[in-house]
Amino acid sequence: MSNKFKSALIGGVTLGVLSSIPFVSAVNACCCAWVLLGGALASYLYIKESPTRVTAGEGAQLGLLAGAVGGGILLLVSIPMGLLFGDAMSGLILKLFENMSPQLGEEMRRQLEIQRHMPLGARLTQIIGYSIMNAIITVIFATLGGLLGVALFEKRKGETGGGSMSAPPPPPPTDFGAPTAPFAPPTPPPAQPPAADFGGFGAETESDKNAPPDSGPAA
Amino acid sequence: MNKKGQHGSSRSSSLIPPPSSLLGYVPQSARDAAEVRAWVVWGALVVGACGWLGLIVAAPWARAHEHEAVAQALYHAFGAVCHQLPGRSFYLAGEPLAVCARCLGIYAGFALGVLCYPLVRSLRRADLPARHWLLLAALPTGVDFALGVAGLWANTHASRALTGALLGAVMALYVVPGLLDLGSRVRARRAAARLAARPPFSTLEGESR
Repeated sequence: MSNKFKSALIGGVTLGVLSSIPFVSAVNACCCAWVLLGGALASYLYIKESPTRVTAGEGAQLGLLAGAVGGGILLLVSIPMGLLFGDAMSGLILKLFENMSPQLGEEMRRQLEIQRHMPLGARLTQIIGYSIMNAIITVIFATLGGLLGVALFEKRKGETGGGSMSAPPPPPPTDFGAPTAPFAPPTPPPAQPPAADFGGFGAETESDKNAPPDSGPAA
Repeated sequence: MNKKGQHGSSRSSSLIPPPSSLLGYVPQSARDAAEVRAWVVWGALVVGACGWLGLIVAAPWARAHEHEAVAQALYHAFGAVCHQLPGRSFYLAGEPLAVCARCLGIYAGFALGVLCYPLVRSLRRADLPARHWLLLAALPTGVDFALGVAGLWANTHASRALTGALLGAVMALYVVPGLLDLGSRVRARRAAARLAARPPFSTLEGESR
C-alpha cells in the first residue's frame, strides 16, 4: 500500500468514525471540525513520512481521498443508524432546543411529527438523500482540511511544486521504438592549436591546409 | 570563394552546446494553455463559493415562500456543518439563515477572497503563503470565541461575522493555489497515462507491414 493511500485511509477512517458516533459527531457543528481534522491528519501523516516537500495539490488530493473514505463510512453507518436510532436522537435534540427556545422547539416538534408519520419508503429515501448530501459535504471539507494541513504542517522549503505553476508534461520520446541503446553524442572534433590570427574569417587554418581539393560548385 | 565555403562548413560541423536557457524551455502555447486552465479552475471555485453562499440565503427564502421540502433539505445539509442556533444567526424574511453568523462570515469572506484572488496574487503561483498569516487570521475568531465562552466579552453577530470573514478571506489565499496545483497535477497525470497507453512506433510499423 502506498504511503499516500495509507495516510488518506487513516485520516478517512478517523473522520468517518468520529462523525458517525452519536454526540461525538456534534463537534462537526463547528465548521465540520472532525472532517477538517481528518483531512489535516492525512496530510500530517504523509508529510511526516515523505522525504521531499509536500505540495498543496498533494494535500488537497490526500484530503479528497480521506473524504471519500470517510464519506463512504458515513454512508454505510448513518443509513442504518438513522433508521434504528433516528427517533431517539431527534427526541434528545428536540429537548435541547426546547430548553433554548420554546418557539423553535414547538416548530421542531411539528417537523418531527410529520417525519414520524411518513411511510417507511419515503423515510428511507429521505435518509439516503441526506446521507449522500452529508457525504458530498464531507469530501469538500476534507479536501480543505488536507490543503490546510499542508499549510500548517509542511515546514520544509524547496522547489518541489513551489514557485510557479507546474510545467507541462515532458514531450513524448523521439526514438520511435528504436533499440534502447544509450544515445552516444557525436564525438567533438579534435582539439586544434589556436591559429595565429585567432581564426578570423578567411584565415587559413590547419584543417583548410589538409583539406582535399574543393569539389563544390564553382563560383 | 570555394575555400571560404569549405571553411564555413567545417565550422558548422563542430558541436555547439545549446544555451542553458533552452534546456528549461516551455513552449508559449503550453504556457497559454496552463494559464487558461488556471482561470477555469479559479472560475469554478468562484461559482462554487458564491453558489454555497446562495444556498445559505436560499434556505430561509424557500421557507418563507412555503417551499418546505427545499428549505428542509437545505437546513439539513447545512446542519452537518453548523449548529444553526437561531439566537446566533442572521434572519431573512423572518427565518434564520442556514448557518450561524460566524459561519456566514467565514463563507462570505472566503467567497470574497476567491473573487479578489487574481488581484492580490498571480494565478501562475502554486506555492502557499507563509503559515503565520493563517494563524494570525484565525486569532481574532479564536479570541472572540474564547472571550465569549469565558464570559469576559459578550460577542455580537457583527463581531462573529467580521472575525469569521477575516479568517475566510485569508483561507482563500491557501485554498486557491492548492486547487490550482491539484488541477495541474490531475492534468499531468492524465497526459502521462495517455502517453503510456499509446503503442510504440515500431509496433505500428510492424502492423502496417
